[in-house]
Amino acid sequence: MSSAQLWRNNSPVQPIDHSVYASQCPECGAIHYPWVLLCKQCGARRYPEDDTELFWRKKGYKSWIKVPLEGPCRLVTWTKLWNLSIGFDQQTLDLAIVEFDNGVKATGQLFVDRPKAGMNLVARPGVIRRYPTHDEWGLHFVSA
Amino acid sequence: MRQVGIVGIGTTSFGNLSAYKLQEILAWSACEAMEDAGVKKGGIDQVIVGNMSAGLFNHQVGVESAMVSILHLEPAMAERVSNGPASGSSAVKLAYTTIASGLADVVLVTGGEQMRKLSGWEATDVVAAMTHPDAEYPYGVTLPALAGMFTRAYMAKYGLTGDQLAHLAVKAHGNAIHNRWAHTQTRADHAALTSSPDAPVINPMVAEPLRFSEVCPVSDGSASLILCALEVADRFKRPPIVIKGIGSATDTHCVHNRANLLELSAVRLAAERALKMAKLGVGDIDIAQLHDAFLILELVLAEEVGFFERGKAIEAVLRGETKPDGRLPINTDGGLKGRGHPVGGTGVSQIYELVKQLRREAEPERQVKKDAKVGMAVNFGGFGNNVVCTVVAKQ
Amino acid sequence: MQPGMEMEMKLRPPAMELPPYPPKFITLADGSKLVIRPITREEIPTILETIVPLIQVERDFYDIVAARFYSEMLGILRYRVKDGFCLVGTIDGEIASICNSRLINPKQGMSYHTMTIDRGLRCGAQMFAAKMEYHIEILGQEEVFIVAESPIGFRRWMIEYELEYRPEIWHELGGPPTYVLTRELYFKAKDRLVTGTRPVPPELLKTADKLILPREYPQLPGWKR
Repeated sequence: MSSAQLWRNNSPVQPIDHSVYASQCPECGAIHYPWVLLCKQCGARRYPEDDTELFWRKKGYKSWIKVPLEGPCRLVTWTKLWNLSIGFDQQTLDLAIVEFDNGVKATGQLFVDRPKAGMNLVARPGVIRRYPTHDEWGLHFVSA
Repeated sequence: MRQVGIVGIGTTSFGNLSAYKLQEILAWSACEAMEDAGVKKGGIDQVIVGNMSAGLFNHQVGVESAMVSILHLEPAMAERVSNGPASGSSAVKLAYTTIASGLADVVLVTGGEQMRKLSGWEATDVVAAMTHPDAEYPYGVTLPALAGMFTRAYMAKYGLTGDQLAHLAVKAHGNAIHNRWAHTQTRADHAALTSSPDAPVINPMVAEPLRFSEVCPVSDGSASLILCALEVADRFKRPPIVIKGIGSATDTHCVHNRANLLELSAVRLAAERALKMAKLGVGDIDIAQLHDAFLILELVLAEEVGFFERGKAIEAVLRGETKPDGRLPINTDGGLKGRGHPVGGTGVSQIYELVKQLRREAEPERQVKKDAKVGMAVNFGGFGNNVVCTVVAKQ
Repeated sequence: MQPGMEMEMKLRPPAMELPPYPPKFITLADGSKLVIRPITREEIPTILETIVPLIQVERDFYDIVAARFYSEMLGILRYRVKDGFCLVGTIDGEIASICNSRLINPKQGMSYHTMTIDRGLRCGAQMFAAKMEYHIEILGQEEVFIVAESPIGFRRWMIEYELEYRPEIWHELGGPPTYVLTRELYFKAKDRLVTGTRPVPPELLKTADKLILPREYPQLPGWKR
């Protein structure tokens, strides 16, 4: 999140929200992750949950409903990556795709000793990448 | 629409060409193709360069103009086409439409990339930048990571083993050592990769369960084609190989958003569209070039196209059906694994190889035995989110 | 005593007795056998000859590595490097990769260089591993100081062995920050990174008896010896 967004969206005394959200269509209920501009089911046009740009508001489009991506999910597949991109100084990185109860699937970092396809996991926000100037937050998957 | 043929082909060596400039690498194969076709100066109407990311790999933009100048092709029209690792085939597709529409008669298509100016680390990052910028890339997702997750799911469903994949490595290297332009010039030994006591160390994990021997190398290189309207093909010294069909299709940007992780629907659709345009069936294909950036993709693409039933491609490979002397030779030049994978160059080099095989000009050890008339190339962009399929045939 | 020898003996570093590195072999991806063994003093000129063509290759810092490797081997040959050693890896007798290093004292080692006449078979990784095996397992050292001059070196050594960052240590290769392989880190990485079979069957070891200079260098396209 940029500092400009931070100031727009949060008063300085509120904690920063590191949650990851899916976007639900207020008309037909379809859920998307990551967010999109047109609903995959009903085709309606939406603007992002937190976007306060007048451009969108003036047009009168509704926002998506924010659906937090957290809590129980199931492991679909995973890998232990040994050749990391530049920017990661650790030796390995475990990555996974999970499915939530509402059918939404997501990619994130896995922190489980013995992963097994279909196992129950819990998704929660965590630091996924450290840049020289800031930390990037995203989804961590841990044992249920 | 006018019919389009390929009358000239050229390639560079694939491998580490970091001592050179990108436009030189592109221009070398272009020269080869022009010479092959017998194109005279001023004979090219349009230049199309397929290149994924000279901006990030080489800090260079406008390579198409740079290449025109190094070859004195001014005032030909020139564009660069970028579609991830399918940039090369997309460049061929644009060249096709340019000729078919009547905008140009003769087009030089060059696909190429120079990836090894950067460290392997940085090159991996550049390629990873094609994943979703919010939901994949920041997590450290790379293309090998996606392939690793895919391979695990495929192995669980169809019982494929690393031991079986190693046979594909043996085939890829076996073809590549007879291809003087290939990046890889060593054999692969099945026992050394799998059962020798040294195997776990010399063939380490890259993205579990994918091992080093199952992933293509990072290469520099380029390949070029001269395309022309069939009605002017007699201007050139080589008989044309005709582009019968081109199809492409897209799929979700995020791999996790696919209804079935193991279905690469863009591959299936691209092939269906190309075959429909060519008025051919999958059984008419004599040879294929499939985008095996990871060895497993050779199997999965073959299954998606319809050459084999799902989960059964490996059996055909083990029976030798996909070797140069087999029923359906696949990746006779070594594929991406053996020949190398300069991302923007791969699509063009796949078609280069098809033309070489259809002309029966490949090295004898890897020239297909059967009298091949129709070839198919599948060029896979992203992790299957933008796929281009090309069908070419003898006239 | 010959004239000048008295002064020479004053200049020569005192040498420790080093237990020899027992040769081993590794089966590479193409099925060929990499035989790794220590070199003799008499073979140093052959090593120098192996290195020379790479001194002008800028890519991947081969020039720096080659020039330094050359001077280190010359230093060992002419008694100006204390307790240095060099291992050679051969395939069918042809030199495929070399590495060198030295001991600072019985407990600490100073890793110098690893250089591969690269054939895409990951010989360099095996040679580096052999060098660390010599330091830690055979010479019984506690730690080895390591720097990387190229990105590929950094990837191979610092990341794969999870070396300890100790920039305050002054490495003989100067500038780049020092990383340290401790006994603990070595044994943690050993299963994954160190391999090889001993003893080398006599007929295989015999192929490595007489070193054959590399005929071609992938770093030098078109160059032939």
